[in-house]
Amino acid sequence: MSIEVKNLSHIYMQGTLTEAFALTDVSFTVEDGEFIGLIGPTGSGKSTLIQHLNGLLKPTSGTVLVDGVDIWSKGVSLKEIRRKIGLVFQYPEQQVFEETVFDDIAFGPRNLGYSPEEVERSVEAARQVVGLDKELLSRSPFDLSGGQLRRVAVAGILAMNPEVLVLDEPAAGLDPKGRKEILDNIKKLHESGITVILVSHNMEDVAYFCQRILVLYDGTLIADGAPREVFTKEKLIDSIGLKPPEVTIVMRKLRQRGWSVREDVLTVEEGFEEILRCLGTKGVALI
Amino acid sequence: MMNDDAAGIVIKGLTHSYGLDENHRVMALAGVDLVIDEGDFVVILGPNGSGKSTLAKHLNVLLLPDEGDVWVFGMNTKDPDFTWEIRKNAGMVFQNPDNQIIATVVEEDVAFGPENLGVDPKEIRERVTRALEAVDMLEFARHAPHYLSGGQKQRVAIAGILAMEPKCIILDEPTAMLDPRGREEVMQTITRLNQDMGITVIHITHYMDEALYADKVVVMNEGKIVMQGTPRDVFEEEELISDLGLDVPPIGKLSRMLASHGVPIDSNALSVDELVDELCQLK
Repeated sequence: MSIEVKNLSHIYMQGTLTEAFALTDVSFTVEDGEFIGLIGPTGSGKSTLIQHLNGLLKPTSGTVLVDGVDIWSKGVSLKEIRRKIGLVFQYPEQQVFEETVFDDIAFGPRNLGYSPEEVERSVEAARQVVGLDKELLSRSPFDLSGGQLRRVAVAGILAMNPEVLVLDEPAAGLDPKGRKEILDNIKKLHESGITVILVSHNMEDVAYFCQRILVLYDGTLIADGAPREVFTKEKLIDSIGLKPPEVTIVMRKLRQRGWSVREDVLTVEEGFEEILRCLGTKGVALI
Repeated sequence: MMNDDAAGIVIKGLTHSYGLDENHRVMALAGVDLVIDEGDFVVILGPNGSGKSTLAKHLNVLLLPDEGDVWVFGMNTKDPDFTWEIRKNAGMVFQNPDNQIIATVVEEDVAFGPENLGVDPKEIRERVTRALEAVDMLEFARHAPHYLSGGQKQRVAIAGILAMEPKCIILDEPTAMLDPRGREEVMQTITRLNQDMGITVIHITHYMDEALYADKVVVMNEGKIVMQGTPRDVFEEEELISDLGLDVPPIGKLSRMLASHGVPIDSNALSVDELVDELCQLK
């Protein structure tokens, strides 16, 4: 399934004194099976943009095409679009409302008219993906910790078997292990064929997991490319208040001090290889 | 119930459990002993559910101990006569910037605390100005909070605490929702408050790199303190850190990998600049 965003603009409170451009002429295409990172400072329009992808917001101008069809044209079922393109919002505590965790995860599938057995199956599959303890299913979602709540919110969307999963900071507030677990599970979902769009402030995560990065700034799409390309646009990244992964910064500083290391290094492992290679060419003796 | 020898915060034998009834109780704190000196910058790390927030809530009497005692600047939190004095002296900042701002104008929000304490209006004005200056937000005094960025909102929340002139600020994951610049703004702000104004800072976080700002790192697991020391001490215990579901900051990992492959550098360099300096010393 592909999503094509064409010249999308969104104006909040149009025609009032507080009219504000949230998005200006944004265009990009999400191909089937991609793993995309969407980054940008707070207020850059990321949340507004993702809410257009499944028709929660209507463009002021421009179009959103899903498999070539304008989702706002006559005869398109937005309900079906919203099942296929699942959105997980940032604050999980604002997304749970049922009496038990099970009911909360089951809300979507039940709404779609799944049979009780199908509901049971989808909830169980989703629970496993997010790594939620089975015994928590009978608890009230309001008794859970922030990390557990986040898993419930993700599971509720997964239970509807979406083809595209859009996650707004799914790992915020999780400890490093929980963060890694949930992201590894999302990666597995991606490998099983789901298209993923990850909104995150964590550049290390984005660099590690995503094949392509979109950078929003002040409602405009200012970069679109592989993590290596985007994070080596030093001036651009600095000017909008983002930070490349720390290892990339080490490489940048080594270069400034005369080392001939590559700058497009994103992970600890790559940094390790690159520093060793460079030390080798410098003839530094290892102990 | 004053405790004379307690200059900062003293916690002894603290336990706390949650639950609806006796059969479903969860031990959130299972015997915590901790001393925080006045003027310290303490970072508390620990996996989700390890009791960090529960501990923090005991420091300004949002929770009371089941067993044990908490003295905040000599005042026992169990003594109701001290409740307001403790809350004035130990202010809390929470994770979600949108849930802590109540007024429609920044300066009114900052004034809320001292107004509640019955501070003289003229004095309030001065305090609001000083507090906004301290977090570098004075130019936004007349702005509406909802147009601010996450980092700016958190700095307004910190100013609201500062206006009560506390000796201590407790921050429960204040950076979890922020973009990289917002995180840096908040970390630099609280470092400045600690260094320039001598305010004791207790900062809870899941970002391991933020632990590098601390004088002392406290690591919690299952309601207990399992490790404390300088950032270097703590991250040297790589195995224990990773068993707890935590992580060594990326640069720490890189330094260790290089050192264990025979590169003659400090295996415990934790920050970008430390590692770059170490590497540049090699001939």
